[in-house]
Amino acid sequence: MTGRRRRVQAALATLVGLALVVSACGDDDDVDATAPESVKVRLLTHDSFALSDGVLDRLREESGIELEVIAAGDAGSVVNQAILTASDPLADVLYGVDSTFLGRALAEDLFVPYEAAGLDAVPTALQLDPQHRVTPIDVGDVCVNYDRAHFGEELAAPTTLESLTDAEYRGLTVVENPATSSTGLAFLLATVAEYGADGWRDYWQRLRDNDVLVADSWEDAYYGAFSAGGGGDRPIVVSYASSPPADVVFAEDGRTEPAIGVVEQSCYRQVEFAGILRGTAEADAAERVVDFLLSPAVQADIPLQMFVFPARADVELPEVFERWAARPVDPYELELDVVDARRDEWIEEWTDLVVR
Amino acid sequence: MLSIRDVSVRYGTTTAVDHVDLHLAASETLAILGPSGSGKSTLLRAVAGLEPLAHGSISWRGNDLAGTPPHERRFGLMFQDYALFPHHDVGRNVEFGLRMADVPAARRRARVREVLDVVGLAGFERRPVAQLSGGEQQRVALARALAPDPRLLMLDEPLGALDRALREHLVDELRELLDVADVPAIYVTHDHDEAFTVADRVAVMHAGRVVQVDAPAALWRRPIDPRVAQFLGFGPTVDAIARDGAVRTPWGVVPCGAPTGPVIVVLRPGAFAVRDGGPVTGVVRSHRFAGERVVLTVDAAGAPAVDVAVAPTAAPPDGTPIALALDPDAVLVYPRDS
Amino acid sequence: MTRVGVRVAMIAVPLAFLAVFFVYPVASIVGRGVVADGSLDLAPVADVIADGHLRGVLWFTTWQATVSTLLTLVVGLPLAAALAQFEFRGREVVRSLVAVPFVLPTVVVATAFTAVLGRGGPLGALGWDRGVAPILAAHVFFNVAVVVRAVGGFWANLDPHQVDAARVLGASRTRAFVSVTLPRLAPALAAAATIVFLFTFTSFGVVLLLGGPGTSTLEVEIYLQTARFLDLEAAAGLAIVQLLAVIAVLVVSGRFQAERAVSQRLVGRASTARPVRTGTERGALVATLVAAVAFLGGPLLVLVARSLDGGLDSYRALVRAPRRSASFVPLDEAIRNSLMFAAAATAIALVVGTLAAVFVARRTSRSSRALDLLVMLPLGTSAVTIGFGFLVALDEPPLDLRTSRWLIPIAHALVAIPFVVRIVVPALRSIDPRVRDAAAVLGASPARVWREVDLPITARALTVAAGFAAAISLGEFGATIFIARPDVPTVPIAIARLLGRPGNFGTAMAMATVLMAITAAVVLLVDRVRIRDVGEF
Repeated sequence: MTGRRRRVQAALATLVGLALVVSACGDDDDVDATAPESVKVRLLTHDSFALSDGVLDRLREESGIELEVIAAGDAGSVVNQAILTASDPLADVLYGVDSTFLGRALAEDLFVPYEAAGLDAVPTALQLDPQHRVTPIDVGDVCVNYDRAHFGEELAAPTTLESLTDAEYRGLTVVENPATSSTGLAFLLATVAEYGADGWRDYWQRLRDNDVLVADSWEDAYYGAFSAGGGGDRPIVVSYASSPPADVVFAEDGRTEPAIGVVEQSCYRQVEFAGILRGTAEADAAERVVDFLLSPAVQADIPLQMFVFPARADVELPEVFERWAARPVDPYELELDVVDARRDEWIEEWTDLVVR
Repeated sequence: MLSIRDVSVRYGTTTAVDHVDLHLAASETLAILGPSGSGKSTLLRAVAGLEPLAHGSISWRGNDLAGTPPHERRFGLMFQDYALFPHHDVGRNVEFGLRMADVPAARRRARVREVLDVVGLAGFERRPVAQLSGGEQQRVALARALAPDPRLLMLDEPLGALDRALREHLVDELRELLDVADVPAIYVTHDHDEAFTVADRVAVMHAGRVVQVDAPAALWRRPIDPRVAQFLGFGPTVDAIARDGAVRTPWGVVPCGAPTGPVIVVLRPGAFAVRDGGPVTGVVRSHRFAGERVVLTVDAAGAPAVDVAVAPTAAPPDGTPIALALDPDAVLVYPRDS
Repeated sequence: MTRVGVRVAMIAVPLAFLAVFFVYPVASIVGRGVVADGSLDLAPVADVIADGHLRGVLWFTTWQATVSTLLTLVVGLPLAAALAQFEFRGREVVRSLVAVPFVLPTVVVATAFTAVLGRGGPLGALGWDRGVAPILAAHVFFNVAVVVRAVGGFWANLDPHQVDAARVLGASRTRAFVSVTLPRLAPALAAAATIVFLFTFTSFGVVLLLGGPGTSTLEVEIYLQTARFLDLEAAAGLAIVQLLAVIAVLVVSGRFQAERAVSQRLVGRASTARPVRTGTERGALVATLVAAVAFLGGPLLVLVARSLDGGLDSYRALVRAPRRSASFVPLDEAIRNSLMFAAAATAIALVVGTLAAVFVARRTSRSSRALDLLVMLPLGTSAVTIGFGFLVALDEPPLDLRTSRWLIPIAHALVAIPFVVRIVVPALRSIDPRVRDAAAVLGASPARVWREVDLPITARALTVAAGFAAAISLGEFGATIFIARPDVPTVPIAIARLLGRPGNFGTAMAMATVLMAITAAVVLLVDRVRIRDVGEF
């Protein structure tokens, strides 16, 4: 009896202890740990935001800014949350609005203009907002990828969007749903850019007739259906220009060459931006954070953390990236206002056409 | 000690206890006797503070108990079906009230041992209650009610669920226990034998009202109305007419003090005896053994069948013609309301 | 404090919690869609009804939830019966393992189902790789724990003598089950069925990942309109329709439960479970266990197998990433975060849920039925609606919690509280009220009666509820994904992050395996917490 009682008390004590731990570290204001003059800046971003250990420490050491990262879902969700809370912003800086959602964010007047230090090192082609309400931080390309093991002498890898509708590639392709996946949305925009605001429906009709599989997320497409990703059996997937270096970096079998290739003529360019949210109480510090995101240290860290290219042209790329990442020469792009005006309409039409 | 004054308890629109007055003296045992549904359990629950009063007051030594919640009354209540704590063993059940009173552990243990000993369950402390027989559960429930030394002990059909032999045995034990405990007690039962054995006085309840309060002997001698008489097991009951100091029954004319008019006649058990040449004649219809006696059911000519007890050796076979005599003292006559 | 005062204080806690963290946020976000210039405009609701596609979605949402619920009952009951009635080696382990699917993140389960049902998988020939069949299968897989644990927990405490009585009176085994056991289980069954229905009615990830783009539920549409298109009017219309449907289901189920609830003698577990006696029993038990292990264990085993594709490399990668980065979540940190949130969410859910259950169990009043309904609503409300509702509602001090980490256990607790209430209410209602009277007469104050009678007798139910709450928090991903949250990665979030990059599949599966192990361990631990004297209860 007493033995059991002691065990029970120990178990209860453990539970209570855990609850106390939670309350002890439950509050976000661990400001005491830092220097009294430090300022806290909240960075609203998507779930994929990542930087190396120590990079944020540098920000604290150099400018006394404590960066609190608030993750809020995917890029679309981040922008929508920022719009909903525009009157009383959740954060001081937003990072992660991409060119497909930028139009909406600018139309809602979310950001205050700021010309970041280091902007001159960023190609003007990436500076999509002439008023500098947002600052380009990184650029990535959504491209058709293929399983290299599946293609060779007998069947060549696809080379264009058009080739995906060829009979020999029938039943081999998996794409993402543009309604639920930003990757899928970028791919839809690529087809609009290639075939025009009218011709894209015909293309998708043919793609559908060629037994394309639609997945609802990149994860589901890549790991669930793509033959080089995990459990799938389709050798063609919509993914990223940087998927090959990622495949090498994260390879669990120690491979040194990627198992996947990129169809360079299928890529849609996505630029990701940061902006200072209107209504911030820490305007100065927020500017420092944008500067920081565009600083060479962060820019150099971006490729292997988020698997996109830095916006700055003067940053040296990691070797694995330099070697394996695809660098499409002339990727597809659409005007911001066109995307913003017609995006939802295109998604609806696509849904009616392809999946209903 | 306890005064119940003009108390009514209602459940919604039904009145379970209807303007009841009862008073209990120190160390007196009062039985409340009545058929099921007569409101006796409700009355107990009201005394315990478990039911709010719709009317009247209950006081202890002159202090109104209206503001005193059940757990502060220090009344013991032994529930019908016992309501033992299923999650506690016997010892924990019995010591519950002592724990509530913050009695130190050592004294609790001693007291539990003491009361378990009193009820004949010494050494049962660690038994799970689910493994007890009915009689053992009853004793545990009694021990639990006794352990905290209640100012008043209430027992609700304490022997109801038990077999007859056990009941007869336990009822004597209870009587002794109540005498020894020297605590005023209210004993609710539907069994008049039990009530007579245990109680100093018996209150008969019917349809929420107390219809008669008397010592057992007085109650037996003169039930206040035919219903009480029937409830005590009297019978048969017939309608008759009283005239000139006598009443004409199917078994003959019996003298009585009732005024002229319609009456109800109730016969006390044992009203008939076999007597050769007796005035009532009939035929033995059946017989049943009742231990040392045999009870004959006799069809009397033109009258309801009656029971007669005889010695087993004197029992005639069924179908035998037989003559009976009626004891006039065993005939109860009540005026019949029109 | 007076008795009335205590009662008011007790009811105030759950009411305040639900008002602040559910009613107010949901009303705020829905209000943005249907309130224009201070007046209510229900046109969006009419739009939903008028839209043929959305009517189809509503129909599909309803029937798949109904079928999923029935299938879950059919699959779960035999296992609940086996665990409740028979004593066999490994029973506690099976009880804990059943809870594991319940907590796995949807994306992990979807991966496992794809691996089993996909075109290359062992059951690929069924052609169930996408569509309704894998949705139903995954719903059963997820929710069978609800039936087994909630119904089984109640079943184990039923007095078996009543079945014996029926058998003696001439009822066959089946007949005795149908006419005696089933009616007594009815409240618990209805409670479990309600929860499963709400879960599947608001199913999001499973439908998105396994249904393929052709299938859509209200929840998916709400997500698209809110998080994608920011069309708050359309979202509000959908959310109101969803809410109305859920309320209708809850009212019917609540009435059923109240009608069927009876005080019944509950007995200790020790006296109900017994070893198998006959060959038939042994056969039935073995068949049930084998089927359950195959159905529940199969997909789990696939996950474990996938995590071991490269030997132990994936597990090594878990503890020592090739390149440390902020996106890499150290295993110990993820586990610590998960356990802390689980402890906090469980504590909140137990306090709020138990207080609500005490009130609800007094089933006489209209207000108790209303609270019952309110408590259940979060389960039937879109996670997106709640998450975005937090954003627009909780923005004023002292409740500017929009980016507080407390929102995470609070969101978890919102999902867990209905479980606590549903599990505890039947147990409270089954307490013989005279046992409480007995305690009162013996000198226990109302609070003391609760502590001495209600608490220990419902301890079994409370531990089951605590296990559920902890499990929900450990695996919960849907509600938190829509909350802006500081960077406190839990195990499910770490899994999602690993799956968000190419090449991490094995590591993600290893993390999922770790989550399974933690869950089983936590549930086993909670199952073992017995309050003294209730050991066999």
